[in-house]
Formats: sequence, C-alpha cells, structure tokens
Amino acid sequence: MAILVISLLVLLSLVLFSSKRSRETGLILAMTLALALHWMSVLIYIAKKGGIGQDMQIMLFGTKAIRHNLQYLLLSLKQLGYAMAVGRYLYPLLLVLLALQYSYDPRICRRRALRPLACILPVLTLIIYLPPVFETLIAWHRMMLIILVKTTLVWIALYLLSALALLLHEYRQIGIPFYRREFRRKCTMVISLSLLYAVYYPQDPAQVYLFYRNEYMGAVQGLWYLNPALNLGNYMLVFAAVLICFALGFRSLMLYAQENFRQEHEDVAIQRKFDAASKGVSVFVHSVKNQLLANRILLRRLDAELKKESPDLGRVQDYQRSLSQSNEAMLLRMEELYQSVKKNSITLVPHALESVCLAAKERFARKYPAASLEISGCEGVQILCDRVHMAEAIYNLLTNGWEAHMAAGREDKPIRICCRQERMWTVIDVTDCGDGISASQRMQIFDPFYSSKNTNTNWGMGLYYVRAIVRSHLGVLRLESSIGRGSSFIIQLPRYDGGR
Amino acid sequence: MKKLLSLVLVLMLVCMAGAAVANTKLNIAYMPNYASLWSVVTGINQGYFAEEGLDVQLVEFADGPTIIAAMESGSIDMGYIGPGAHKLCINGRAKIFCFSQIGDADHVLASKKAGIETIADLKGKKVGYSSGTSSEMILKYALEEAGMQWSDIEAYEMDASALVTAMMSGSIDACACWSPSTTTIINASAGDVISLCSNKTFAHRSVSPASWIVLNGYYEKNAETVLKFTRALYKAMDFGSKPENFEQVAKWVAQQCATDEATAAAQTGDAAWPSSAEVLAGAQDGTIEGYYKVQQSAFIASGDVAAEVPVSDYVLFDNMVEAGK
Repeated sequence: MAILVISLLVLLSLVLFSSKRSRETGLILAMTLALALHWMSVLIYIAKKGGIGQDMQIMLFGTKAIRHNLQYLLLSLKQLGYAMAVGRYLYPLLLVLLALQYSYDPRICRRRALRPLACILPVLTLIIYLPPVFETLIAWHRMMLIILVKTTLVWIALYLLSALALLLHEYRQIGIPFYRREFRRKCTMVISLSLLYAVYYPQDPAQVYLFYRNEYMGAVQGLWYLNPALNLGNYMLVFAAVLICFALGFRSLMLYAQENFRQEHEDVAIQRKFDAASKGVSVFVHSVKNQLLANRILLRRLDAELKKESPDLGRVQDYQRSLSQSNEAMLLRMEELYQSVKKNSITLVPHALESVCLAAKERFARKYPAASLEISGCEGVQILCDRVHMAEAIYNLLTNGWEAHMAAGREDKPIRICCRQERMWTVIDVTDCGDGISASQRMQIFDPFYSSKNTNTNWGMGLYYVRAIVRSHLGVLRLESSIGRGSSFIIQLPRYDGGR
Repeated sequence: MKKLLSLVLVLMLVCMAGAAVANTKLNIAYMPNYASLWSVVTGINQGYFAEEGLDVQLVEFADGPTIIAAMESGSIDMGYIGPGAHKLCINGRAKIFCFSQIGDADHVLASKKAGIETIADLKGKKVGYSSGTSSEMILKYALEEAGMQWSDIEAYEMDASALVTAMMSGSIDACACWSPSTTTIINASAGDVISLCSNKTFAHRSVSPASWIVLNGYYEKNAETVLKFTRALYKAMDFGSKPENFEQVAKWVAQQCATDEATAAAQTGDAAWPSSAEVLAGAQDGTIEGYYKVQQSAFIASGDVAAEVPVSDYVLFDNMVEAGK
C-alpha cells in the first residue's frame, strides 16, 4: 500500500512535469522524489530488519515478495542511512523553495538571498551526515550525537512551519476567485505530501549508521524507524487522504496547464474565426452594395421627380430623407466595423489608472446618462497602457454590464469598477448585477461577431475587442459569473510597480 | 420470562468463564532460522503455551540487537538472541531468563575464486559482516586467530540479508554470517564458497550460547508470565531435543519462515538441542553460568565489554530453576 501510494505520487508528479515544464512543477517533482527516497529507504530498512506483523507487511509492502526483494537489496547500512538523510533533509528545503516560488509578497520575493540562505542548513547537514564525517564527529564527543539529532529536528520543524506560514500568508493575499481556488488546491497537495513526510520526520538516520552502538541506543532512545509510526487504521487514513489531496492538486495544476494551452489555442482559433468572419464581411459588403443599389433606385426616382416640370416636393423630401437615413446608417455600421477590424498599434506608457477609468466613465455616461457607476481602488495606481484603447475596453465592459442590468430590470443598482493591486497584477474588476452568463454562452462570448443581443444594434465585436486589447497589454481577461446574481469581468494587467 | 432469565444467566456465566481463561497475549521476537524457532514453534504447535494461558504472537526480526531495540520501544515482550547480542545483556540492556542452546551456526565464508583458502588469505579482501551480531564476533575471532587487525581487511558493514546478496553477486570476497544464510550461499556458489571457520573453531576461547531475553522492567512487573513462558519452553525443548522429532520441528520452522522443509531440516545440525532436564541441571550446577562467563571473557578480550560483570546480574537462574520444578 505504502509503496503503491509513493509510486503513484512519483508517477503523477512526472506526468505533471512533462505536461507543464516550469520551476513550480520541477519543485513539486523534486519534492515528491525526495519524499519517495525518504520513504523507500525507510521501507527497505524495515524490510531488512523486520519487526512487523502480517497486517503491517501488507500495509507497507503489499506482498511478501516485494518485501523479500527489498530485504535482499544490495545496500550497505551506510548507503541506506545516507539515502534516508538525503530524502529527509532535501524535502523541507524544497518545500520552502516552493513556498518562496508561490510568494508574491514584495517583502519576501524581492529578497533574492532567501533561496541560497535556505540551502545552507540542509547542505551543511548533508555534509555532516556523510557516514565518514558523521562517525568522526560522533567519535570526537559523545554529546555531538545528541546535539546533531536535536538540531536537525529543530531546523526541519522550522522549515516546515515557515513554508506552511508562507503558503497561508499567500493564500490570504489572493482575492481573485479563480486563483484562490487554484492556490487552495495546490496547498492541499503540498500539505498532503508534507503529511506523509511527517510520518517518519522525527526519526534520525543516525540510528541506521549507529544502530548497534550504545551511543545511539543509549542516548537517543525512542527514535526508531522500526516502530510502526501509526496503527493500521491511521496508515490507511493517511494514505487515502494523501492520495485524494494530491489528486486534487494534480487536477488543478493539470487544468491550469490545459487552460494556458487552451488560451493559446483559443487565440489562434479566434483568429481563424475572425478570418472566417471576414467572409461575413464580404457578405456584409455585398448587402451594402444592394443597399447602394436601392439608393440608386431612390436617386433615379428623385432624378425623375426633379425632371418633372412641377416636382412633388413632398416626394422629393421623402426620397431625400430615406437616402440620408440610409447613408447615415451605413456610415455608422462601416465605422464600427472599421474600428473593430482595423489593426491598431498599441503604445504602452504609464498612466494613472484613475484617469483611464474616468475616460471610460465619461464615454459610458454619454451613452447611458442615467446609469449609476461606482469606481473604487484606482487612486494612486499607475498602469502601463494605451489609454485610449484601455478606456475603450473598460467602456465596452461597462456597456455590456449596464445592458445586462437593464435586461434584468436592475437599473436601481450601480455597476462597479473595483481596482486593486494583487500579487503581480493590477486588477480591474467590472461587476454587474445582471442575470449572469450561462456556461454555454461563456464558451462563445469572446468570439468575433457573437452577440446574444439585438444584432441590428450589436456587431458582437465588443468582448472580442476587449480581450484583444487586454492581451495586447500582456494581460488576462477572466470571467466569473453566477446565474441570477451577475458577472465580473476581471482585467489583470501586469503591475507597473513590479509587484515582485 | 424464566427462559429469558436463564439464557441471560448462561450468557453471563459464559462471558465470565471466557474472561477468566483469557490468555495473556505475548509478542515474541524471533529470527528466521531453526535455532531461534525450534522450541517456540514447538510450544505453539503442541499447545504448551496455551496450557500455560499464554497466547504467543511471533514477530520476525533480522538480528538480536534489533530485537532488544524493539523490546525497548515496547512493541516486543520477550525475544530470542544469538551469541553476538549477548554483549548488550552484559552491558545491562536486557536479562536472560532462559538458556536456549550452544550454537555452531556462525561461519566465515569465502570465495575460492577470490583466492581465499585460509583465514590468512582474507588480508586485503572485501569482507562483509553484520555489525553488533555474532557475525562481527566470529570475524573478530578469525582475524585475531590469524594475527590480523580489522584494518588488514576491507570491511563492509551490511545487514544480514544484504550479506547473502553481496556474496552471491560477487560484490564481496568473503563474509561472516549465520545459518541458514550460510547454507544458501554455499549451495548457490556451486562449490566456489567454502567455510573458513565456525563457532566450533573457537571453542577453546569462547562458546556461543543463544538465549531467551526480557527487559529488566518487564521482568519486574511480569515475573509470573516469564515463568509460565519458560515452563512452556521447557516442554517444547523436551519434544524438540528428541532426534525423532527433528523432522516435525523442521516442518513447523519451514512453515513459520515460509521456506522449504529441506532448508529447515539442514539446520537441525547447527547445535546440540538441550532438553529441559539438561537446562535445569546446567542452571543448578553452574554449567550454564560457565558458558556465559567464558562468553563474557571473550567479549572483554575483544573490547566489546569494558569490565567484568557478575553473570547473575544479567542471567535469571532462579527463573530457570523455578520453571523446572
């Protein structure tokens, strides 16, 4: 059972790393390997030394044959002890490095010296625990054994607690629901691994080097690998909890990797859709041509009317009005289409977020003067952006949001822009109190020429445009929506002040 | 109603009777060889422990020092140790409550291909041993006998199982180990591996007693249980010491160790298996004390024990005598 659980953890970590090669997955793989090395060394030691009943044998090894194979592995006790030491002292270090990797607190992540500093104690301990060095030290003074055993126990505990504190601190800093959920699952995975590590953490590899010596047996009694750390029921509980938690974290990381992959492909797909849509533009041009042909008829009629000796002024005015309306409508639609498809260059320069939001508010107020809008959190925040395009993007979100309010009959409630600095992002959260967006709509709303509203007045280019603008600002556009309660479009832009 | 009351009464009586005869559960440590198991498996299979009200659960260990550590951790009540671990008893870690046998199971084995024919040939060779056990002890005797120091060989400290693998794979040239590992190595080598010496070789300077041990604290609280266990062992020794029963005992040993009967049967010559009368007589006339004295002297000479300790400090002769009454 234990061997199966450890093998599964290693396998999942390998899959994770091969799916998403990053420092994060590399550290998780290294942590799992360190844990596996620690546990396997302990299991080999138990297999060699015995002292377990049939039930415990099944729990730890699965079958007698597996235990037999491990028992007869050609490893000296010094090799086995050092393998335990490597697993035992690398795991807390890797855990701290992972926690530092996750941390976006400027007080922590700007201190680059923390990483090399964290390596000092584990590396020093691993040098001390080299069998010849260790035996020399123990032989030098009897107290050295007790000092070493107690010291390593303390620093490992400090590392584990520090890492957990860092993770908790980081979790509390996250406000974006998507990232909060994702981070919670990652933490669950890391904590589950640490739970498995904790089972044999108090044991010191010195007992393997010095098992038969009175120094160890006399001085540090009670620390013993062969004592079952838990009873059978608790072992089962721990293994089940570890597998479930790790699977959750694994799923989260895999989904995140897939999400990134999907987004990259989505961009390509949307571009393809846009290319396809350009065919729609041809159709549109064709229909405009028909409109122009119709206008030509109107003009001919107008011409014929004017050639009469006494033209009917009323008819002339009707023709002129029709022509004028048709012309304006076409101009407006042409302009909107042009604005949507033209390739603009983006110029990123520092701007006050407040001014960008106010520009968006101004445009929004022109279209919906009666709409209520609240802006918060943007004071004193600088962002790197193209002011016109970003304001236009926010304006589009505001327009969509307010139209959702109107559709839901909630014009009495304000639409909100909430800005905040979070981890490495500046977040602009546009929240409405509409009816929310269904899961099926969420798949399509960023597509060009998609609109759930009146297509005579909406081209369905708004969210496509917003997304394109946010992406061109190296940002991310996320949607959180709850049916019946409203939606939040979250623009995440890289923090201009560096963040980390 | 009367029927119901009678039924309840009967059930209560059954429960009380059950409680009254509930056996004392004991976790007993052993090593997977004939010498360790010959008496205890006989006691279990012949029902001698049950007769004494004891429920014996056997737990396998690789060697004696590990058994003592397990007893100190509280997971084991009593256990069997080979000669090497006796130094821990002399040093006060445990008490011997019953003598088991004088063994000849330890050997120094060597590969002829590595150019080793005698103990003196071990010089400069890779020699594996299991620290703290009789393996280390017999290797020390062998080196001293040939006038060599520990530094004259390339010593590899391994656990008992790894010694077998290392020897069979040719990773080491020689090793010191005990039966049945000795038989396994010799049989697998197709005539290449030979025994350079065994316990008998050093009979002039030491004996190799094996014993049943208990922690001091445990004995103080459970002297009656230890006595019952010894009584059951005596009955088992009477059965197991008879040559006509060797085959049966070997079957039980093979069953317990999950090995073939031939391997277990091959170990019946590893010692002279004493009867309870021999143990009792030995405990009363000082013969057994003499064995332990000689053994202690050898440990003092090799530096494993610092100073002489009265044998009665760590051997419970009273228990052995009382159990024989």
